[in-house]
Amino acid sequence: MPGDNVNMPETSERRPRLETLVGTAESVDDARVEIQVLPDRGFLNLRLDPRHDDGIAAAARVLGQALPLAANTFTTGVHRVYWCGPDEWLIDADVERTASLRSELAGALTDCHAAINDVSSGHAAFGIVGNDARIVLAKGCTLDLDPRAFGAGQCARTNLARATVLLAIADDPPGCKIIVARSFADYLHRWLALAARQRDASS
Amino acid sequence: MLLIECPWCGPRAETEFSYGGEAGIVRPADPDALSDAEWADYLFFRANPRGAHRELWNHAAGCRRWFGVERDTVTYGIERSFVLNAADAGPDSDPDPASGSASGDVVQAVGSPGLEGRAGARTRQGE
Amino acid sequence: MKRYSAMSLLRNALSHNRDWRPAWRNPEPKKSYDAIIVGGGGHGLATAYYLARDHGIRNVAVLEKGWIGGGNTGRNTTIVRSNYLWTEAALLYEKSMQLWEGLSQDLNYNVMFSQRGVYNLGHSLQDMRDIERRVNANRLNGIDAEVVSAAGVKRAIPCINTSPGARYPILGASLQRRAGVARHDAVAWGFARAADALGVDIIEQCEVTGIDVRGGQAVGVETTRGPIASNRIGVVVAGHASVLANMAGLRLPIESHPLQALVSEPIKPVLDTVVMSGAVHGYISQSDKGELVIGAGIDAYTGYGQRGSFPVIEHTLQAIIELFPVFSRVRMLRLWGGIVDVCPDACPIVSKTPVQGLYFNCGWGTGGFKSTPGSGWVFAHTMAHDEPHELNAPFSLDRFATGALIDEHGAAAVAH
Repeated sequence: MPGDNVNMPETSERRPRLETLVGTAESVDDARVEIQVLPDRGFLNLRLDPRHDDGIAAAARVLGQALPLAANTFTTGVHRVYWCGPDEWLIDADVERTASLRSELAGALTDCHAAINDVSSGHAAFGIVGNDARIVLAKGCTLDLDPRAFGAGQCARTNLARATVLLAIADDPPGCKIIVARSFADYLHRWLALAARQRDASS
Repeated sequence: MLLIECPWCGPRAETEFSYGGEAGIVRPADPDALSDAEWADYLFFRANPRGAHRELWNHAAGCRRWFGVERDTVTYGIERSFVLNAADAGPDSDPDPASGSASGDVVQAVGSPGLEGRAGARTRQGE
Repeated sequence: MKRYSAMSLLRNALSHNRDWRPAWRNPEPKKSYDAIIVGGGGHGLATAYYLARDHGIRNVAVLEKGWIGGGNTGRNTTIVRSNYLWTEAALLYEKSMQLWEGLSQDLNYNVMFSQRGVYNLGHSLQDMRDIERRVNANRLNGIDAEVVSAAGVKRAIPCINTSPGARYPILGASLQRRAGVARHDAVAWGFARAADALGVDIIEQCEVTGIDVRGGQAVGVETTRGPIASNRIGVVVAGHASVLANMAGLRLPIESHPLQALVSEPIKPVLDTVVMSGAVHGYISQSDKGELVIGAGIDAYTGYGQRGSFPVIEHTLQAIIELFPVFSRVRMLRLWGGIVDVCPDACPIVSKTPVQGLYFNCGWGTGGFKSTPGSGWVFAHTMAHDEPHELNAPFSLDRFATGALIDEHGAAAVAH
C-alpha cells in the first residue's frame, strides 16, 4: 500500500540538547507556567477517505477507540487520536506498541484507499501547563485560545512561533500538548522558555 | 490581516494559508487542440476583478485542504468560504474526497460526518 | 510657463511670494482631443509630455480620477536603477536612467534625482552567482555594474551587519553607482507642469467609466465629467489596468496586488545609499529629511485596497532589523500601500491592443517608479506612430501567446 514503510530511520542523534531534557520540566513563577519535554511517543499518520464507513470502523476496532470525525477534536483511550484534516489523523501511541499497531492497521485497511505511516522519529512533544499557559501560547499563535473556543478535547494544527504544530488541550491532566516536527523542536523549546519568562500576564 | 474561514477548521489567521489565485480555471482537456492565444489565455490571463472575486486558498498550516473563498478585492471583506466542486477543479481532476457528492458550491451538512466541512453554508460579513 | 531659477526665487521673495502661479492649469475638458491619456500618474504625465515635446501632439488630455501624485506615483520607495538581467529589459530601464540623468533640466523642475548607488545584497552562494551573471550581463549592455565583496559592503555601509553568524549572512552585493532615488512628488509635479506648459490639459477628478469602441476602433471615453472623443487613447493606470481593459472588452495577463512601504521618524544621516535584498523582500534608503524609507514584500492575494496585511510588514522589518540591528529602536511613522499590476514574467506591457487606437502601458509591477520617464518616452512613440519603438517592441501583449516572455523575476526587487 502507498507509504507503507516500517523501517523509519532513527534520528535521535540530531537532537543532543533536547535529548538531555526529556522528562524535565521548567517552571516559571511558582509554576504559573511549566514547560515539559515529554518522553518519546510513537506517532502514526493515517490517511483514509472518511466516506469509507467500513474503513473507519476497521480502524476503530484495531485502535480500540473511535477515529474523531468532528474537526479539531481528538479521542482518548489506549491511544490518543487527533483529527488533522477531513481524511487525516495522527495517532499518539506507546513507543513499544507503534510498530505492531501500524501493521495491524495496515492489515485491517487493505481494502481501503488508505495510507498508514510511522512518523515517530519525525516528531517531538512538549507539554505546557499552569494558569498562564494560554498567555504564553498566545505570544506566538493566532488561534483563538479562549477556553470557550479551544477547550479540553480540542486540537488544532496551527502555527506557533512560525513552526507548524499540533496543539491539543486536555483536562486530565490539565494542560496543552504541543506536537512539533523534530527539526523545529529545539528552536520551539527555546522559544517557549523565553516566551514563558517574557510573558505579560496582564495581556 | 485577513481572518479566513476554513470550511473544516473554522476561522483562522491569514498566516496559516497559502493563496492560490482565481478559482474555476480549468485545465483544457486537450491542450493540443487550442490555439496559441487560447492556451495563453488559460495560462496567463486573469479576470483580476475590482470587487467580488472567487479565489483558491490552501489551509497550509492546518488541514492542508484547498477550498474556495469569495472575497471583495477592494474592502478585502470575505463573503463566504466554500468547498470546491467538480466545476472548480476540472474534469480530469481527482475529486476532493472531502467535497463529497456536492452539486453546489457550498456543501450542505449532509452525508457522512467529517466530509462536508464544518457547517456547509457558513458565511461571514466583511472585516 | 514661468521658468524656475535663482532669479525667479529672488524676484518672488522681493514681492513677498504673492506672485507664484499654480504649476499647471485646471482646465475644463474639451469635447475631443488628438490623444487621451487615461491615468495621471508619473507614467501618464510623462507620456503626455513626450507626446507634446517630441511628437508635436499637443492637443492632449490627461484624465486622472483622483489628484496628481495621489496614486502609485506617491506610494513607492523612489528607487531608480537599470541593472536588469535580460537585454530587452535592461535597455528599456537604461533608456529611463538616461532620461532621469537630465530630467531636472528638461523639466525645469528639481526632481531631486540623487545617484547615491544601489546595492543588491547576496546572501548565499547562489545569490552571488546570480549577481555575477547579472553584473556581467549589465556590462555587456553598457550599463554600469560591479560586484562588491562583503568587506566592500561593510566599508560602504558601516551600520550593516556582515557577521558570518547573521541570520541573513552577507556574502557580497551588486552595485550600480548611477542608480539612486528621486523625489516622487516632484516627478509627478514636474512632468505635470512641463506637459501643461506645452498645451496638455491635465484634468483631475475625472474618472473614466467607459471606453467607446466602434468597429474595432477606439473613438472616445465616458467619464464622470462627460464623454470625451479621441481616436488615440493610451491607458496607463497601473493597478486598475484590468478594469480599464474590461471596458474595451479585453483581458490582460495581469493581477493587481497590494505592495506596502513605510517610513520611520527622521533620524540623523546614517545610510547614504540604497540597500535592497530580494532574498528577504526588503529594501531601505534614507530620505533627505532623515526618514528611513522601507519597502516591503508584495501580498500574495489580489487587492485594490491600497493596503496590505500586517504580517508582510512584520516579515520585512524582521529582515531589516537583522541586516541593520542599529535600527531596532526606530519608530515607524507612516505606512501605505499601492496597487501593483503584476505580469507573469515580471516585465511590463507597453503595447498596441486588438482595438485600433487603444494602447496599454501596464504590468510594471514593483518596478514602475524607476521607469517613469522611459515608460512615457516609449509609450508616446507607440501612440504617435501606431507602432512600438524598438525599445518597447518586445514588451507587447502578443508575447504571452508567442511565448517570448522576458523573465525578470530575478532582477525585480520583490518576488512576484
